[in-house]
Amino acid sequence: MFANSISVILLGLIIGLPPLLFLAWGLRNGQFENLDETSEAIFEEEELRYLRPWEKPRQVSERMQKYGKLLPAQPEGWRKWL
Amino acid sequence: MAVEGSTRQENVVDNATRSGSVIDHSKVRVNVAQAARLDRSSRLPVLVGFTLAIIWLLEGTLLGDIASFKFDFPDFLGSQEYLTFGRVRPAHLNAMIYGWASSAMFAVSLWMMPRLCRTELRWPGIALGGIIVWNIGVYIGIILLLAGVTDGLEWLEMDNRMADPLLVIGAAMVGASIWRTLAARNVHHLYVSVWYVAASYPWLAIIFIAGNLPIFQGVESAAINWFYGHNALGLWLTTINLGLIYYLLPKIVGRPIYSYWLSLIGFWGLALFYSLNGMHHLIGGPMPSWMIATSITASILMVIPVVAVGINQHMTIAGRFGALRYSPALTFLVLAAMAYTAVSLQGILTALVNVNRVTHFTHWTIAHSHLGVYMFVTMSLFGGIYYILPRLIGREWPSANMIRAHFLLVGLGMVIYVVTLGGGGVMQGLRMLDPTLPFQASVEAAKPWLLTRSFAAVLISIGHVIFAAHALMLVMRGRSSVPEDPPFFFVRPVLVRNG
Repeated sequence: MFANSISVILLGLIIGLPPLLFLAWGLRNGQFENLDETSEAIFEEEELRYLRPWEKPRQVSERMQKYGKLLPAQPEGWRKWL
Repeated sequence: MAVEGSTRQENVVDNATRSGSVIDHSKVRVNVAQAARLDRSSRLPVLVGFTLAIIWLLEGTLLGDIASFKFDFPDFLGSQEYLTFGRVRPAHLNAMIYGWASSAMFAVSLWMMPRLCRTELRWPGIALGGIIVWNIGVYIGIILLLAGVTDGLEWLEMDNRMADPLLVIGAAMVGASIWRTLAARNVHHLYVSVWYVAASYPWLAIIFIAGNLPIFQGVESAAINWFYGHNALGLWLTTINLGLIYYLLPKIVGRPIYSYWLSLIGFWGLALFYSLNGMHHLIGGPMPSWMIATSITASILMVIPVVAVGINQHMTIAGRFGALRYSPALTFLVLAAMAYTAVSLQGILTALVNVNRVTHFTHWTIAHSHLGVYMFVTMSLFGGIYYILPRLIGREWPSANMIRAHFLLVGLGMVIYVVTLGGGGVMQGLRMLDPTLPFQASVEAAKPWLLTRSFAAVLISIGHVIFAAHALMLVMRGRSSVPEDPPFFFVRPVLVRNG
């Protein structure tokens, strides 16, 4: 039975151990700190400040609280982010 | 002005990163012009990847249609041996997995990495060469499959001397470009999509090489086969597409991901638990009991990352579903995200012994795999192409109607496909388990559902033709229609009309 299992065990370790090492590296390297900032890193300049036409007033005011006054923008300026 | 500004900004990022600080990168953002410059660095390999992928989509669709109709009309195209079911069906599978999905995923990951790492794509020529070598390998493999040369292992049918080495070399070349770009990054923190994309390439190399090693026999060969088959879905097809969804969903909706912490749980849960899932395909087979038990346990553990991803993606879009009216890319991506949760939970359910007893050896499995590879993976890639292609070509998609027709045909077709074939599979399985019924009863039970599946396949095929024609129209469109700078892209409602 074990003879039939050893390849699967080895492959499981080869797949599973490197992520553990990278997880340790990430912890030491501060990869899991400042999570909110990291989540916003994908946005381009001003991308979060444009009004979106589908947003409700409450969502608009939440955005204003977080990112400051929203850009009145040129007509339909939000479209470039779609 | 924009260029000068961008240079100053990059220097700020560079210096902060090199000093090892935990700089707040969200405060130092790239602008539209810089993003366009990053896109230009990957433009050629991405366009070639998408072009080859769309060609494969059409070829794989044709092969799938032929295979499907053979269930309804067994003599259909039966006079030519290269069009017999045993050859056409694996050719369809390999064309879709390695031709369509993988080529498009190469392109998607090559487009995302420069943006996420805020640096130009490194070794673009090697990446381009890798995509071409990979595709040559797939063409050789599928021609050999149709000629009757097969390795006889599920998902690994392509010849392991003529085709597979080219696939390994091709993926390694693309992966080298991805990792070189990662090494040259101008950001300290790695966004979750980077984890997904970067991890996918070494995982693919390991599982593909292991799966193709000609040293396994008997039970061990079956175990390695499903170690590969399931991990190809979970550690390659899934990971790139989750990375894409985690990148595009927040950008299009215009808000960060609901919980970045949950997104990390989703990634690390997948990375640590997924690899042993595959053996649940062998429940009831002559396998060591620990292997099956471990696989079922690992499958159930997958509830954690799957639910984490599902909650996260739902909460990101919750309250903003109106955005679907404006963005076809978002519409496809949201459907793909929902399908990911659905197919994962269905997979966990299928791993349970009592369910597996009914569904094993039935068309349920085909419905399940299409829910994963089509409704999740392919829909996600459609969303990615709708978003990326106009940015690379600098022109808007020409026709809202064609996008709408594409979405409705493939969406409706795939719902019919999965529901009917899944239900038919259960009925087929219940009849096979009934000792008072002959085997023919299970065949008869499945027949109407198979015919419905073929109808769904026709709908999906028409959708694919429209999509390919639309992509061609986009490329051929005149320069006069170039939108103003900065460009905006398709915004008219897809499913619901404005106001």
